[in-house]
Formats: sequence, C-alpha cells, structure tokens
Amino acid sequence: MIQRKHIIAAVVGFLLLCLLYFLFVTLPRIGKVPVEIAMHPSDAKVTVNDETHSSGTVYLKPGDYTLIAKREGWDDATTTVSVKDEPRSIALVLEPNSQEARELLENESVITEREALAGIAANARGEDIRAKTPILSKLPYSDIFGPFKIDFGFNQDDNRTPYFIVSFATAKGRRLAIEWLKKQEVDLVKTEVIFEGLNNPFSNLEVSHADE
Amino acid sequence: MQMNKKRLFAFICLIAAAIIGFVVLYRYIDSVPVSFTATNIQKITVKNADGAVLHESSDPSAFSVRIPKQTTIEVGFVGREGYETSSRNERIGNKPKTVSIKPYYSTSRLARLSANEQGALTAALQKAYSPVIAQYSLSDFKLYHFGEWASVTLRRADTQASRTDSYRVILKKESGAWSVETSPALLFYENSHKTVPVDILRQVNYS
Repeated sequence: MIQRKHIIAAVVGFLLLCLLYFLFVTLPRIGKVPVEIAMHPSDAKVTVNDETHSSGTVYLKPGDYTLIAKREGWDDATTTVSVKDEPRSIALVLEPNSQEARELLENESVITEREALAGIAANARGEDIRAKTPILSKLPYSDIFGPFKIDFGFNQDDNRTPYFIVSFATAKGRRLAIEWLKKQEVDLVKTEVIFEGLNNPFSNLEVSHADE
Repeated sequence: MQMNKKRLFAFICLIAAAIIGFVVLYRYIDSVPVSFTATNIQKITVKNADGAVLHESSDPSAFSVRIPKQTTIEVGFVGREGYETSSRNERIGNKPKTVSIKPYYSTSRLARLSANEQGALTAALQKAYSPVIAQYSLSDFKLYHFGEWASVTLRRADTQASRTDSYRVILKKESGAWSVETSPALLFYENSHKTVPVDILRQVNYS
C-alpha cells in the first residue's frame, strides 16, 4: 500500500514538473521565434528591445530589431535584423579599442572564430537584403521602349543599403523607370535612385529667399 | 474510496485553476499599458497584427489599453468634419507608451485651401529660381498636413509633356510666407530631406 502511494506521488510530482516546465518555459515562448546570437568576444552583452542578453538563444516575436553588442575595451557593434517566422542566427563581431583586446586578436584560434562569425554575419546580411528588396534578383533590367536600364549598388557606409542606378534613359525613360520601380513595390523614400545623365537645372542654383 | 475521488477532483480543480491563473497572469505581464490621446476624432479602432479589434470607441479623447509587448498595432481613425480618415501602425515595445492621434486636414479641405495658395506658391518659386523658373510650367499644387506644407510640379514649358522630366519641389509655410524646403528633384529621400515629414515625401514621390 505504501509502495503504491509512493508511485502515485512520483507520478503526480512528475506531472507537476512537466506542468511547471510548460508554464514557465514553453508558454512565454509561444508566438516567438528562437534567434541564436553569437558574439566575439563571447562574453559581450547584447541589447534587444531594451533587454540585455548574453550569447545564446533569445526568443523574439516576428518584427524588425536593432541589436547592440557591448563589451568594455571593444567598440559597440550594431546590426538591424528582420525576424520572420523561422529560427535564425545572428553574429556580431566587435572591433577592439584597447591594447588588451588587440592582443587577444593575435591568437590564431580567435582569428578563425571571428572569421567564422563574420561569415555568419555576412550571410544574415545577404538574407535580410534579399528579403527586404526582392527586386534585386531581377536586376539589371532593361526596357528598350523607355528606353532605360536599372541596376543597383550598395551604399559604401554600411555595405547593406542598396540604391538603384537608372541609365541610358531619356526623360520618358526616367519616368517609366520610376513607374517600373513603383510596380516592384520599391520604397522610393528609403531607397535612393541615381539618374545617370540627368542634368537637373535646379541642382546648382542658389535659392533666393523672399526676405533677402 | 469516495474520499480519494473527492481529493483527486479537488486536486484536478486546483491544477486547472493554477493553469488558468497563470495564463491570465502571463498575458497581463506580457502586455504594457498604451495610452491614447485623440483630438478631432469621431471614431477610433485599435487592431492587433492579425486584424482582431483590441479597442473601439466613438468620440474618444483619452483612453488606455493593455497591448501585448513586441507587437505592431494598427490605429484606424475617422476624423471630424474637415479632418482626414486614415490609419497608422505603431510598434509596441516592452515599455508603456503614449500614442497621440491628431488627424491632418482632409483631402477636400486641403484642395480648397490649395486653390487660394497657388499665387503665393508661384511667387515663392519665381523668387527662389528666377530666371530659370520662367522656362517651366507649374502644376499639381498640393497642400499637406494642416496646409503648412506644399508641393508643386515643374515641367519644361517649351517641350512636349511626355518628353520632359517632372521635377517636384516641396515648400513650407512659416510665419505666413512660403519658402522652398527642397530643391526641385525627380524623387525625394528621407535620408537627404530630414526636415520634411516622411509621409509627405512618400505622397510626393508616389503622386
């Protein structure tokens, strides 16, 4: 009889543990996506949504996030990521700004680790750019009836913000190029378009103000 | 035996109550209070990302709603007579937030006002870009927000409309006088025109 009571108590205890695990671990993760964050140095702290985390997995709801990694002796590393419905990896590699940190980079295994993380970061950046600007896979695009040709480049400041280059275009071609970009759902307020060969007669004019 | 059944029933009830209590508590903890202030609004609707209505009220001035953290909500509103009916998205983070809804003038009201401002806008552009502006025809006079922002389209007057570029220029009214805010261009970008509200840049680029 005593043995039976022990078995029941053990089963109930086990069920309670499962319940507690569900309530405290699984429930808070519902509707969120696991995002694995890797950093070098690995003991850096990363801020996401005003919350500070260490390297490892954080659970985030789908959306756009800015991650800032900090560590004394190293420059802050910032990245902006789009979290969709699938798990993803993010890597942040901080640059040294102290002698101690610079010395650490002389170690070959550290260099290898940083290169691997930089590769992950570059892949993630590429995925984000392709996801946010799917039109890039259609470029270069030419229309002989415009005529116009559209290609793209990346902003040198961050190497991740694309811009478009419209070339071989007449005035009509430029207008059609803008219409084509609108049809591709390009955000023409966020993404710059460079019109090669356009001589804007107002660009070098000095504006006279009414009160002068 | 009867006692054991009673105990088991009580235990199950306790567990069920604990689960429900925890879920309710968790939903409360996982949300933040968002305060809304509204002026010149007839009706306001707050929806979550899935389109479910979180709050709806007529003739609101101020109210507060608890909204799940890290979500985007859509705030739709119907303005009073002369004010716009529109919607906007708000990102909710982990902290309480205040959302202020002040609708701009309606399109019809701005169109009426723009007819009265065409002369002043033309004069401001002629003053700013004389004598080059004489070669251009001015059209599509549009006002934005409360009538303090405007855009005008410039096209070469001596060339067929389909063969000339359409330059847009944005002006701002300050102390009753219009002044040029952006140099005429085919498109405007938020990074290079930080003094102009993004929604105006978007309306000008997409018009």
